[in-house]
Amino acid sequence: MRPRSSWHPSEKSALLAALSDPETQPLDRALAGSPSEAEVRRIWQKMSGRLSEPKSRVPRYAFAFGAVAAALCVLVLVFWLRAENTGPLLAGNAPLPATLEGSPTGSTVVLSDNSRIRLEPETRLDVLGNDKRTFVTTLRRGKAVFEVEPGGPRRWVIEAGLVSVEVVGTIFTVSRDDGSVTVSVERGIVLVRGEIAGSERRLTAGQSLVARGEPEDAANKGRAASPSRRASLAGRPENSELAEHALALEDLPDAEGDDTASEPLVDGGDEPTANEALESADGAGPAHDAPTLPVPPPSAAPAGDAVDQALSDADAARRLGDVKRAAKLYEKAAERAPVGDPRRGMAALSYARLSANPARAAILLEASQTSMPPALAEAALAHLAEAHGRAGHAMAADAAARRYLATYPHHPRAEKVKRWLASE
Amino acid sequence: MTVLPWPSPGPSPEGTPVSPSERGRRRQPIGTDLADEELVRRVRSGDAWAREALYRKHVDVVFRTSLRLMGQRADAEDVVQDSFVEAFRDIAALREPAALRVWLLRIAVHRCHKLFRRRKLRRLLGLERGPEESLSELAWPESSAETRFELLCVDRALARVGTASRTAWLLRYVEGHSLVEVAELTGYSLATVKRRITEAARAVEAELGAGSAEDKP
Repeated sequence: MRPRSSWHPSEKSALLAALSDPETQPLDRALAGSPSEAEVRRIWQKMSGRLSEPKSRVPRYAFAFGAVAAALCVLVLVFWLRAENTGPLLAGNAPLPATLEGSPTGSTVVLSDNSRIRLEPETRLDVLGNDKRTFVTTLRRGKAVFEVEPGGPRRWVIEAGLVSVEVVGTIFTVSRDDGSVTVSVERGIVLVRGEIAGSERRLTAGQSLVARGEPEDAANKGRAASPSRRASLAGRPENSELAEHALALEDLPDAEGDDTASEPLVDGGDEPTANEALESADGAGPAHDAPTLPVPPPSAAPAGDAVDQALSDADAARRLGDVKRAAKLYEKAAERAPVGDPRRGMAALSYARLSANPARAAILLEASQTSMPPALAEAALAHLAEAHGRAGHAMAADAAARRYLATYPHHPRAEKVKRWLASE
Repeated sequence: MTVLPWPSPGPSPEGTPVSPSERGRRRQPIGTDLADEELVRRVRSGDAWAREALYRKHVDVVFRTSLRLMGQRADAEDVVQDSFVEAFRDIAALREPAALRVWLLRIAVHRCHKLFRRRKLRRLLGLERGPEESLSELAWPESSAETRFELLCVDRALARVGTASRTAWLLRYVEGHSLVEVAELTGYSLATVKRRITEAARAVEAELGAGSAEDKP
C-alpha cells in the first residue's frame, strides 16, 4: 500500500483530482474509522463470552434444513396416504362391478373408502362413473340406502330418473318405483336436482322428498312448478327411459338464479352413456344388458359393427372412469357412423361432454346435426354453442347460441344461454 | 479472560472515535509486535494471551473497513465481533498465517455483505427504516462544510450503484487496496472488480462534476 495522500478535507476542490489516484486513499483522512478503546474492550468482552461457548457440532442452518425436511416428509406422507385412497372405489379388494343388484334378502356393498350401499331386494344400481373425484350411479329400480363416508375426495351423484342426488358425506335412501322417486336423508345434507319445484332442493337430516311425474314434491305439495317447466314435461312420455335420459342431459338452471354467465352451458360427465341414450330412445334396456342398439341404415352396414363396437367400448371405458379413452372411442364412432344415423349424433354429443378439445367437439357436433335424435337436439345445440365459445370461434358460438334461443326460447336453459350471450 | 498489559492513555468515552491525532499516541499492548505467523501458531495451540494479542493487533483495520462499508458504528461492532469469532473458530483452516490480515478482512467484508442483504430484505418488508449507509455521517466533527458536502455527493453517487460496486469502490478509494486485493477481499474476479469500480467511479465523477458545476456562478 502506498503512503497516504496529501489531500486534506479542507481542500475541497482537490477531491476530484485526488480520486484519479485511488491508492492515495483520498477520502481516508476525511473519515473517522478507528474504534475507541472502550469499543475495543466491549467487542472483546462480547467475543470472549461467545468463544468460551462450546462450538455446536451442528450448524445453525442444519436446524432450519431439518425443519424444512421434516415438513416435506409430512407433506409427502399426507399426499401418499391421500393417493392411496384416490383411485376408483373398490368393493372390498375387487373392482366394483358395473351393475349392483340386491339379493332376494337384500345385500350390502362395502366400498374401499368405508362407504356402504345397502340394496333392497329387486334393486338395481348401475355404476356410471367411478374415479378419484366422482362416483356416479344410476338407480334403475328399487331402494338403496347410501352411507357415504364423510370428508371423502369424491363427489357422489345418484341418478334416479326424475331426480339426481348429490352428496358429500351422509346417510340417505333413494327408492325408485314405476312412478316416483323418494329421497330420505338420515344424516347430513344432500342436494336433489330434477323434476321438483324449483328444480333443486337441499335436504337435511330427517327430511324426505318424493318426485313424481308431476313437478311437485311431497314436502311442497301444492307448490306448482313454473309453467315453462311444466310445459317441457308435457311432451314427454311419462316415466319412460327417454324422459329419464332427456332429464339427465339437461343442465337445469340454478334455483337461486345467481350469475352463471361465465359457467358452462352444459354439464360434463354425469350423464348416461351413448348406448344407454340410444336404448332409451328406443325404449329398450340398458346397454350392458343386451346388444339392443338400433340397426344402422343399409348404407351404413359396413361401418355398423365398428360403430357398435366403438360405442360399447366407449361406454365401458366411461364406466371404468377412463374418460380419455371413452372420448377417443366416441370420436371414432361419430366419425364412422353414416350421416343420418342417430348413433353419429349421440356419439358426437358424448364426445363433446367428455372431451377437453372443444374445437374438435364443435366440428363433430356440426357434422352430426342431421343425425341428432330429436330428444337430444336441444342438448346438442347447447353443447355446440359452448364448444364454439371455448374453442374461440366467437361468431360461430354466437350464431349457435342465437339459434338455440330461437329454437328453445322457453327451455330452462335458455336463460343461461341468454346470460352467456350477453357476457360474450 | 486474559487481560493484556495495556498502557492507559485514559480510555475514550463510549463510542467516541479516535481522532487522527490520537492514532499515533495509541500504544499497542505488549506482544502485538509479534509476527502474525507466531500469533497464529500460538492461538492454534490454545494460548489465550495470543488470541487477545491477535485481536488487538488487527481490530483497528477490521473495524475501520467494516465501519466505512456499513456506515454505522453499531453495525461495525457486530461485524468485528462476528468476524473475529469466526476467525478464531476457523483459524486451523488458515493455510497462510502470513496472510492473516487479508483473511480477516475477507471475513469482515463477507459479513458486511450478509448484513447488507439482511438489511435490504428488512427494508423491503418495511421492518427497517434506518438511515442508508453514509460516508458523510462518518466525517470528523471538525470537518468543514465543503468536505461534508463532497462526502454527501459521494454518498448520493454510491447510492445509485449496487452494494457490490459500492463495496469495491470503497475498498479501492477509501481503504486504498489494490485491485487484486479488492478482488481477493470481495471474492469477485479481477475483471468483475474492475467493472464494478469503474461503474461506481463514473457515478462519483458525474456527481462531483455536477456539484462543481452547480457551485460555479
